[in-house]
Amino acid sequence: MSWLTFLLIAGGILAAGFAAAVLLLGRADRGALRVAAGAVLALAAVAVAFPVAKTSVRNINGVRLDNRGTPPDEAKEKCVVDGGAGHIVPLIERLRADLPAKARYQVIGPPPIDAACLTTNMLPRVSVQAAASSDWLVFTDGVPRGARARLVPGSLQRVTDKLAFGQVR
Amino acid sequence: MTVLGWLLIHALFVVAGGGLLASLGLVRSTTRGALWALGPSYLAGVALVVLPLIALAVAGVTVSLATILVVGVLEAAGLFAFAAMRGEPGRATLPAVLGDLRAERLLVAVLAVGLVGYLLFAAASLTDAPIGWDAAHMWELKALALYHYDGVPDQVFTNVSALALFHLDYPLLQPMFEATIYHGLGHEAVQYVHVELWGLWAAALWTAAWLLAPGRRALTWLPFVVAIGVAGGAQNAPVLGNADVTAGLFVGLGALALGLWLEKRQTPHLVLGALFLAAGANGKKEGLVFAAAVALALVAVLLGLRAWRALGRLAVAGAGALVFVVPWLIYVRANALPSGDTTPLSRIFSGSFLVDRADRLGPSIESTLGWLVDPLWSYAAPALLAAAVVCLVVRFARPVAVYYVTAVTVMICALLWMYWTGTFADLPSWLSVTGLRVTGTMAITSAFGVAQLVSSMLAARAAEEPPRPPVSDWLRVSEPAPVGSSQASAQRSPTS
Repeated sequence: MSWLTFLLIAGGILAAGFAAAVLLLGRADRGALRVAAGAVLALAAVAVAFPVAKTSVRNINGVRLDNRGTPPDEAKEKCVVDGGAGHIVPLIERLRADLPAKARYQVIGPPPIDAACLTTNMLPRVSVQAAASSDWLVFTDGVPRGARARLVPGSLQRVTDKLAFGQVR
Repeated sequence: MTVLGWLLIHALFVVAGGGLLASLGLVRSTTRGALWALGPSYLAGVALVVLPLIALAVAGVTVSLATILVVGVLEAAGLFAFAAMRGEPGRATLPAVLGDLRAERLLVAVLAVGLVGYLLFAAASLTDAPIGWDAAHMWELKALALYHYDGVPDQVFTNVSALALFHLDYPLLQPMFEATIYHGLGHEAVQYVHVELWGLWAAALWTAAWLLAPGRRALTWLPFVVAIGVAGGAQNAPVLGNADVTAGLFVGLGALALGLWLEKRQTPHLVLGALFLAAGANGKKEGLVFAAAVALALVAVLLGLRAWRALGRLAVAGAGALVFVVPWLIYVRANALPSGDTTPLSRIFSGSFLVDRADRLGPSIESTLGWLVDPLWSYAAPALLAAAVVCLVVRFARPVAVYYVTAVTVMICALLWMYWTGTFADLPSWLSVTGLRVTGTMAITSAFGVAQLVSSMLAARAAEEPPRPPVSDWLRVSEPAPVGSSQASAQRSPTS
């Protein structure tokens, strides 16, 4: 019944304005109604501002306490964790550390997280679909035998049993 | 270097926006006047610099720090040169009226200091905030791509096969603003940028105050600016890194500037209104729709008034605003970027699509109006309705009242249409995720609207009432202003 609440609030302000005109100004003509309603609205805004501000301060202080000391990388990785792929955070951190800026990588294996979240975490390194245009291969479910032959010898780096990456020849 | 870069980029915004305000005759040529115009200059500068950068980026121009500097400096130089040729400041620079009672000044000081304190505390609380889900998938993603690739790289902006789900068609005001900040800093700063988004909100409140203040008693408009300024709903988007408040503040300020133009018919308000609406339309897809709602309401009122010359001037200003809106729309069309959540009109009007989904309207109305009567938005919308009813009943400032109520009503109807026809099947989830933030524009517009209406309602009092009895000495803070002085004349309402 939010429409009723909406109308009741508006109606309450109007009633208060009318009452103020009659009781305080002693008349209910146009001028008195206008001034009284304006004054009621301004006073209501003042009255609303204080409790609203109190709640807002409490909420924003909660934001401050919850996130105090969060490093920038962790701030970016929130979508990875929230998306249920927290296990690949070590891989992302290694990729950010070891892949050069603007490197192009191809993900081999099931995507661990949606492309947008991965891209936000990896930029300026970008994901490509075509094997021919990639500089690096990122493995999310082990390293297939055929893929090893495409890598620069010795460049394969394992992060876990299934997560690894290497530079394309 | 980071501090220098920060200063440089913010100074660029202030100088570009200050040039616009000066060329419009809106800055008093005093130190206090210039300081008072700092917030509005910054916000106008953000719009004035970022909007051309979007057009340049989608046209394939490299948007590096050099490009940003060239755009900002050229705009500032041109506008200040125009201001110098123009000479005298315009009429829109009447001084603010603090009131002549001690209690009144004290309350104004409490409200102003409280608001500034809250804004600073909230800004300090945002320095370590993480990137929210939507920001990571849309706004921050695009901002980082714009920054690292000095433009719109295909791997992100037209990568439909991988990113179609993530609103590739959402416009670029906030991402480009964030990228501009990163260029100034010389590195990405995904947590600090929350503070910058909050800074836009603070600057918007400053701008609203600056627009409303000339000739009006502070206590007649400040409470509404404070009430919406401290509203919890306005925290949501900057905390998460979303663009809803960015779009909403520009649409709200556009509505306010155009509302003042409707009341006073001063060209500077029309120009600012068009600029802010163009920025709002580039803030989000909803921003585009809500900006159109404001324009539609204004056109309807002017048609009702048969104000043909004003309509002509509005058309010119609207064409100017469209110049900043169209480039991104062309880019979306040219690259066939899909709209993730809207249904094509051909499907909406075929068969029984609308009838079959009629049951979505009830929950959508309940949710939308529910958020508008929530303390998180400070009851601004019902307050606007009450103020408008009073204006209609007492036959005062009726065009302005009808304009604001129509604008907010059209926004509500547009939102309900989106919920009614949108592709998102799970309506309850959609409403719970989006309800608070998409009603922000309506609440902000309502708050600014009620501030204008009430300040006009109370300003008219001085001109009509017989002289008041002398104020007790203990209440008075200064000698009464002589008749004909700027303060006395400022109390007269231009509204009829």
